[in-house]
Amino acid sequence: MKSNETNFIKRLQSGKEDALEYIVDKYLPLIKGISYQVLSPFKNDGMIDECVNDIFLSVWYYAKDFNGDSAKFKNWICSIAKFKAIDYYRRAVKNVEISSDNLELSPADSIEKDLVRIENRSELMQLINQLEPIDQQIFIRKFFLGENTEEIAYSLGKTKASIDNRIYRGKKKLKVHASDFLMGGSVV
Amino acid sequence: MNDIYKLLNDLEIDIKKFEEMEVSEFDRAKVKKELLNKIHSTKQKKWKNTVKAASLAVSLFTFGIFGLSFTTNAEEIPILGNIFKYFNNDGLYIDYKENSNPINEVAESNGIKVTVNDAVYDGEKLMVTYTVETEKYLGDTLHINGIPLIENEGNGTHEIFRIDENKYVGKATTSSKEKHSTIDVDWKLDYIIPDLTKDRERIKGDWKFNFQVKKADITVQKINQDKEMDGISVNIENLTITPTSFLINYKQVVSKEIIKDWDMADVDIEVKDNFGNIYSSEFHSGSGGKYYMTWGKTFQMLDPHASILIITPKVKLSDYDGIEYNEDGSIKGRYRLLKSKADIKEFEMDEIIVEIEK
Repeated sequence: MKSNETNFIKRLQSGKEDALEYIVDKYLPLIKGISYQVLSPFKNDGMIDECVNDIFLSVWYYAKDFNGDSAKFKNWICSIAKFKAIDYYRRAVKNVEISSDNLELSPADSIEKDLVRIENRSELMQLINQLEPIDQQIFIRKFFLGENTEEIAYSLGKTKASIDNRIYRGKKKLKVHASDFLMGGSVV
Repeated sequence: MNDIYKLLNDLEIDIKKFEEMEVSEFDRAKVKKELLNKIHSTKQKKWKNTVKAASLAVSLFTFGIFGLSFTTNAEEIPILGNIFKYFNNDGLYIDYKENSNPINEVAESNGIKVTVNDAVYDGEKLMVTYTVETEKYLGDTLHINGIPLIENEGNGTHEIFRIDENKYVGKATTSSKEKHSTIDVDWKLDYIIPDLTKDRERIKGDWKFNFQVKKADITVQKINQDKEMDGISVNIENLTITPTSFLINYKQVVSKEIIKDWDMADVDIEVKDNFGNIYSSEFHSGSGGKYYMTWGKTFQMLDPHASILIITPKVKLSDYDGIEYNEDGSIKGRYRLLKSKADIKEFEMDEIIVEIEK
């Protein structure tokens, strides 16, 4: 049996390789477009290819976390693409910053840096899981998807000020928890 | 707990904003081939025991998630041998590599191969770098239970990064109370926990190492001297001298009054010796918050005849250099966080005199 529009999600979730090939056929132009949009400033095709592969591998390994139909799947794979591309972008920028000056060590933005440092690790997810659902959305959009306040406000139908306010309060809350985690480092 | 992939289910994004890119049949085939290779290698690959760890030390590898693939300079491309480079927040990686003892011991059990690459001991702290290769994909990082012990004692931590599909590099740091000139190190890994959130089962196995490490030519001197001026205090914590450089760690504490007017307060240090040599330097670490920061700075090689270091703390109060990301990922400019109109202010504190212990 081959994967098609109606069965590819099921086949992907049960680890059938033709489903992976199916989503590459279907979504590669879009996934590559998203990666390119974020990473083109670096003029590094290798980085974009690596990011694209990483996106598909994540979809393969985390397929069971997806829940929904094929229209929702498009939304899911695009948000993973955005999140991975932003992740690559930040790591690259971080490296540039380290070599050029000490900007990234400035105290004022350390909470963002702290969060980025533990990004995508279970610690940050634990922090985010402690927030209310609406704040979870805001934080994921801001830190994982790199959206700015206007975009977040637009998607959630709220004012910019209320988003700023929630980010401010959420950060304060996270800061307390984050410092606990960071004190403990990655010790098990 | 929900992982990010689950949480993204509930997040609607504006897909119309994304543009498709032209992709040739060749591109499609290439991506498929690479993906299937990766998946298969994790399913079927058997360890090649004949590969000696030493030969791995010179082989270049491709970088996965960890972002070092963007180095521009050929000589900056790290090779497996210099794992210290991954952990350069100590600022010591070059010196530590030069002063380390190559170990290259391998233990393999339950589908996981652990290679101890290097070890360095400075008289107090032991650092061991290692590589972990797994048959299965285990997630972005690993948690290892079991720390290398110095003469059967010590406490420590692990730092681990994934550098390729199924390959991780790690550094274990152990501290001991007693100082030794040569130490016997025992490392038994009790178990490994993969980071994959849905599969956090312990992987048990038989990974044991035993090796000896000589104290490297590195000295750490406690300083603990303070200076205070206009609401800012500095504490010089310690001085580390290696054959090729020296490092100073210090703390800064900023008072509320300062934070009211400026959103940034940074203390830099300038270092001279008793012959008037001024040492060039760069920061290797910085962490903390508004009120409290710790900094680490690396300086060039110490003049062997120098007996005194003169440290001048330099304070800079300024507004916020903010970075924000635009939707396309580009960086948005700076802005001031506080309403204050206070101007940038710089001043120097009195010198701190440190006698170098020989």
